[in-house]
Amino acid sequence: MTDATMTHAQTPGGSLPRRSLSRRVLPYAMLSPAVIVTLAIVFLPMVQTAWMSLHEYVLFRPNKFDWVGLQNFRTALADEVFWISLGHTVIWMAATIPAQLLLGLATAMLLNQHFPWRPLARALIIIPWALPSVVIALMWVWIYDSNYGVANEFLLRLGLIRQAIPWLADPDTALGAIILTLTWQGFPFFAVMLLAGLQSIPKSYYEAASIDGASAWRQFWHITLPGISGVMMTAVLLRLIWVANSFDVIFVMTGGGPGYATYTLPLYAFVKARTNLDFGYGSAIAVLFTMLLMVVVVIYLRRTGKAVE
Amino acid sequence: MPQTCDDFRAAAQALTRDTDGDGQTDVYGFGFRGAKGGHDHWASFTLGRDGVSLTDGLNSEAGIAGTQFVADLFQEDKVFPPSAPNDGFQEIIGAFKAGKTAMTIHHIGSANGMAEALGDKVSAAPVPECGGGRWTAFGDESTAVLSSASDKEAAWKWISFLSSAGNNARFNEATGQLPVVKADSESWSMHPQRFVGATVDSLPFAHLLPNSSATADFVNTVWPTAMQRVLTGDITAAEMNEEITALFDD
Repeated sequence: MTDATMTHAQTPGGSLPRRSLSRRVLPYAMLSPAVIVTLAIVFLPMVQTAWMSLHEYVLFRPNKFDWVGLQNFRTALADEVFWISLGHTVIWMAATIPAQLLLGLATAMLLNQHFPWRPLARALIIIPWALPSVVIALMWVWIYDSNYGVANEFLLRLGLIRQAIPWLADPDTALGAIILTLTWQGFPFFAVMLLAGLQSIPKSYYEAASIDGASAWRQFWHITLPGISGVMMTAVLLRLIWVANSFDVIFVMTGGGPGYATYTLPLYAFVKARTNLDFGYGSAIAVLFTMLLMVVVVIYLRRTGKAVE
Repeated sequence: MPQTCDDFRAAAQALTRDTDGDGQTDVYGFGFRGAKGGHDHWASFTLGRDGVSLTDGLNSEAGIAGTQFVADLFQEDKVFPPSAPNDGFQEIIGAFKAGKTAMTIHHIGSANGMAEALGDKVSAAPVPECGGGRWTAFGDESTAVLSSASDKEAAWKWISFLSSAGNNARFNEATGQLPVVKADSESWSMHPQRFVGATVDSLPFAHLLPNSSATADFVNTVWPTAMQRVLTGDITAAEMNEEITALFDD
């Protein structure tokens, strides 16, 4: 009020509209670099991918960029490997995210207790999340190695198996082995997020519940879970998208093999585009997967939104 | 040294052993590369057969027998480590140096490392004759004249210069490969002579992969995926050869 009055008094006639205009323009001016960068590195490639998916575009013949309409999509829907990859993607998401969530929740509740070396434990738990995916993948390849790996050595010594299992070379165990690796990599994210949620729940709630005679389970169900549900919903949404799109660990550990045993849709799109240089077909798979993932995200948001309310 | 595929199979079986008597196999006869880059292993057992090449005859009885030979070595004879379907360069070289496998196939680039790890206990020989012939990969080509080259004459002159006695040795000292000029390979000292001898002896049946864009797909995706599916029993040898034939027919 003071500022406006002074401005009006000092520069009569025309200054107010100029100031008002600059105030209106300033937010756009400040936001525009970020928006332009986002448009250039996110939206432009997205549009380019969608455009390429409608063309026959194989880099061995870079000058051939022929319009084929929805042909790549029809080919994908009739492609056995597409459906195998989709099935694995569903298993991949349905197993990895709940496993990470449960392990993360258990870890967060442990780290929320008082014990002497809690700060150190909280720092150490971050390590799997902080390590680069390629390092993790190579590390677990050696853990699973059928000749020298500690996993087989450990199980053999315990007498749980009679001979070494080629975890990553057997189609029956390869996907499960990679899911375990990704669970180990991703659970610290849930642990840290949920720990923050747990610490925001007032202690008085638990005290009141104890006085009323509520068991530990009822306290968890009626106080802890509602208290962290918002954080949990956001964390699951983020991991849903990240895990669905994640293929670096698979690529390094098995390259999708043996056969198609660990192919997921993002990996298949990558292999088609970057290895076979068939950018048209690879883009069509990526577009199809994006649409499927959007459906999953929308359903998730609708259901969890209602539950949280 | 196994001279034929049958000799090779017998040798691989004899070399697959439980050395400490605990009921577990400690040494496998052959380190097979089932992951990307292993097509040379498969090709040595398949493409030497009479009338078989990547572009012709792969669907014949002889062609399918080659792929089946590899599958049998893994599934019936169990002379490959169980990890073979996913094993790549690091795994086969590591297992061989560690004594986990008794034989493998690799080019001369790994000879010094092998000799360093195993001393006089390691040597090299040409691949066995399978079904009437032998096949080995010629190796990397460092020089080429592109059809779009602006001065093909000058390019050819440069390649000729690099391929002359003395110059070929200098060139390969820089690239770490082996001279193809006989005079240079006889005096070559950058690799153990027994490996050089085996490589030079292999030249008469060393082949290049087809000069086609399908070769890239064959090497990078079609061969590894199909071979792994055969080894794990997902498809048959005939189906694998059919898939490769379809790729090169396109």
